[in-house]
Amino acid sequence: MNTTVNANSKAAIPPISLTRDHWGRLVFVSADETPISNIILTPLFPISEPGRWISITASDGREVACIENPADYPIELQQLLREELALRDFVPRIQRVLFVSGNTEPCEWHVLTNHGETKFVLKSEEDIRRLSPFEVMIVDSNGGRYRIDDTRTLDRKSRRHIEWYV
Amino acid sequence: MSSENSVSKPTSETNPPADFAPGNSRTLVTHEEKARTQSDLELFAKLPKEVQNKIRSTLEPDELPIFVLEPDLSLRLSYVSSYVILTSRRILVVAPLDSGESPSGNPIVGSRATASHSRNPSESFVIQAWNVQEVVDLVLVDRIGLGTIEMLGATSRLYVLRFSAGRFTTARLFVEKFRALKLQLSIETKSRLSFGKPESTIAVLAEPEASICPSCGGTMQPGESTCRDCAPEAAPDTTRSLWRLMRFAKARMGIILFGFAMTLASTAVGLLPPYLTIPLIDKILIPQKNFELVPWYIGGLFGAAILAWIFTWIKTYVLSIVSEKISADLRNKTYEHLQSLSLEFFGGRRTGDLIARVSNDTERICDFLSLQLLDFVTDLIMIVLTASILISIDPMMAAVTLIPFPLIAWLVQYVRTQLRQGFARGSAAWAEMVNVLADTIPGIRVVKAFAQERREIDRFAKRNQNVYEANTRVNWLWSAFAPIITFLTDIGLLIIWAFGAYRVANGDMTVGVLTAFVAYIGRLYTRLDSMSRMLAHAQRAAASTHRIFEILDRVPSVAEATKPIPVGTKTKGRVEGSIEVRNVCFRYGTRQVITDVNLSIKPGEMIGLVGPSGAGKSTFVNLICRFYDCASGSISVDGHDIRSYPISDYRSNIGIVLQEPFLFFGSIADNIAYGRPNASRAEIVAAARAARAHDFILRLADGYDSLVGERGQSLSGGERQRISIARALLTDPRILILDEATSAVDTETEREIQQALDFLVQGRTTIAIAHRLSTLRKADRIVVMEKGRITEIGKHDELLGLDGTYARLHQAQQQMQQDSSVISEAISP
Repeated sequence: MNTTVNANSKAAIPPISLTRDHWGRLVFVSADETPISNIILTPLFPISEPGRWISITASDGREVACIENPADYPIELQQLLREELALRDFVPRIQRVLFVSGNTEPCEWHVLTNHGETKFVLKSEEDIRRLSPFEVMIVDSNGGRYRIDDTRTLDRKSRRHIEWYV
Repeated sequence: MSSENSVSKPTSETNPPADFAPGNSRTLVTHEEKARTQSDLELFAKLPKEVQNKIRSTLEPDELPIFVLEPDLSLRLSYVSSYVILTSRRILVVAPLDSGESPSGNPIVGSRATASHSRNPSESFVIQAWNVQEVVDLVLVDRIGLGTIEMLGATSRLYVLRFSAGRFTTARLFVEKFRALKLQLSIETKSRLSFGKPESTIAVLAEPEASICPSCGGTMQPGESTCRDCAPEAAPDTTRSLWRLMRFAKARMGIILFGFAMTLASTAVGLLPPYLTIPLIDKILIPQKNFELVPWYIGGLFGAAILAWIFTWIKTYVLSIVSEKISADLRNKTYEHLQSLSLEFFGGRRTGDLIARVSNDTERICDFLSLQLLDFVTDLIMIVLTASILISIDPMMAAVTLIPFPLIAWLVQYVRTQLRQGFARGSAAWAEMVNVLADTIPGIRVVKAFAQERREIDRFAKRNQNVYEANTRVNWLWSAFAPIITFLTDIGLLIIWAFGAYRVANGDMTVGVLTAFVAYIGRLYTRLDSMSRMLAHAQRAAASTHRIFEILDRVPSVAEATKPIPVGTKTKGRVEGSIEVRNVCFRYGTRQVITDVNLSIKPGEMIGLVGPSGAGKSTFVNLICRFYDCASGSISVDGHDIRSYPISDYRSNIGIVLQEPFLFFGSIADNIAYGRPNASRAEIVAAARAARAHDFILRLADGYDSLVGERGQSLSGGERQRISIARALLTDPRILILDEATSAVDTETEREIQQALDFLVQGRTTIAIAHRLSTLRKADRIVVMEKGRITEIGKHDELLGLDGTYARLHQAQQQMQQDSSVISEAISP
């Protein structure tokens, strides 16, 4: 029991071979040297710890390996992980709330994000969620996600709109 | 209830330290005279003197009274008290000397040979006695509200006792004691025959065991049919209920007094302006001179207005802080206390009620304290101050203006009460209408399937009409209410104007004083309406207070040990996991759920618990978890009674996987780490992997950060179960309880869960309750429970060999499986 729970944080980290093939897909080569293509990277804690705990999953959903801390691996692998994860999650960071149509949901929000200006519809107040004291996540009516890393950096007006909910 | 046990093992041995289990001590009745007088006193203390004397005179020197039952109905079902005493050798019936009813329910045929009648014209009771030996059995029949005990002899019915519902529990105990005594006597007779030496001790439970209330799980005193907390109580006195809030107010007395001072000040300042207008009118406006003083008076009025504003502000702020604080304290206290109460208390339909108590009721109390009570006190202060000002200005005039005031106040109060009743009828009609909605909208499929739409529409329309009618009835009064107040105010003012004009004409009063009077009285009347609501507010707040104190007054049924023994000193609070169950009995209300269960479980052993529903399996497991304490007998873990461990330390050694896993609102990671909030991510992931939950968690959009629970993502039963297994795994429990962990899922999912469970049980003492015997294939031993007793213990094959209950269950399930496979073959092409 204890051996399974106290996972191998200090044990020798097995090398992971992850490359891109000619089609741009990821290929994982396991210990017995069988290549597995169409690899998907899944962060296990995408919200609370997005940079670590990345599961390497085959296309059938089977986990073939798990990277607890990318910093333990060669720089090229880290680079690859970063590229791949950046494309996996599109979560714009809201920098300013430009306009909110009203205080009752559903309401339309016009926001300025790090990817530019956009608008979305907020379905219910439960879709705005506080992750930590100053971190907020918003899910729009289509399931798209937006984040605010630190509400204190927003201007007064934007902050008031957010604080109405959280 | 086996009397043999108590003969061989005195209390002190079976229940290690007596202070852990109050109320389940067995008293040994001996033939010593001392013991006799004592038990006499206890048993007979509540009986009338005459009956006591009568019984004492009837008892033979070495005859011991054991139990008293007081049937309260005669054979013709009129309320008449009689008394039945079970002694060490006889049953005595002390009945009022009455109308010649045949006690046996049979026509009287001469006098009974066995029953010894003793009649004395000066006494109003008659006593009859039967030897225990001649009474073959007592048969207890519960009908609704009416209980009967038939005393059966070898050839005929000897006597019939009738009693109302309140005596059911005692009656049951009476019968049990009788049977125990009879058993005891027969053993003695046998031993006398075989050894020629009678046993001198009669040990019958002299005191019934305390039991657990079936509706709230609280401890029930012997002889009660409902526990004291659950017994409905008449509506409590309003003032006394509210007064109990003082306990919470005391801590904040300083700020309350400050707020009160502010109330006084603001009210006093509010009464200044009319007083200042007297000289303004008399000295300046009427004589039309001294106009240079006007700015001073205006300034004074302005100052008063400013002060009134500031004081009122402060008072409202201070007192609303106090009341918020009090109701927050109340909420915390209530919730904290709730957590200590037993599982039963939270049963099914109570949940909503409990939530309402913690939230709505405390909120209502807060409103009452901060708004309604405050307003009322302000008004009272204002009335007193106004009255004294008026009297000081002109006593005669004050008397005339104030005398009608109480009358008017009473009138307003009267109309309000009428109004309230009307509104209550209106809301009752409203609730009826909502009921139709709540009934038919969830059942819409049935309504449509049976084409009953028209009927439901009519039903709704009828209730809706009732709402309309009830509201119409109250509306004519309600619409009259405000005009009535205005009218009464006008009348009151008219009196002042008339009398004032008369006095001004006579030169007894100035115009300025008259204006001041009109202004003061006008203020009083406007407050009448809000004051009249006070009674209703107070009653409602008192009801809320009562409901909250109902929770706070409950005593947790599982008590913390007075001198706790630390759990597993050498092993960092982990127990080894050996369980020793000895002579455990448990009652649930009047029902004996577990009877004399003995079982010892080795560390790491897996026990499968099977048996029909209602056999006491879950109760047994609840006793091991110490959700209740057993009524008699003991459960030891690692050789110590579990009642001697600190409750939470002991429970941290136990992991439970239930049939319906409960997930809290939060992320999956939070849910897995529920039992160990400081677990690292690596440990959480490892536990999830071991529980076969990792793969499906991976597929969720947010992985371990996905929200689940009531408002979160919905997971399938198997997925939820695997999360709850991971949760149990993470706490690394030494004792594991699987309460039908796989019953609620289909066979495919069961297989997945089973893999996770197989891993979980390794190296842990496990008790698994299961309906499907297939899930117990890994069990070291299987225990079959029936009607609260263990009937079979052994390995799968051994039990099959016994050809008993287990074999029957096994066969039935095999049969069913075959049937279903035949069906599925027939269906599939």
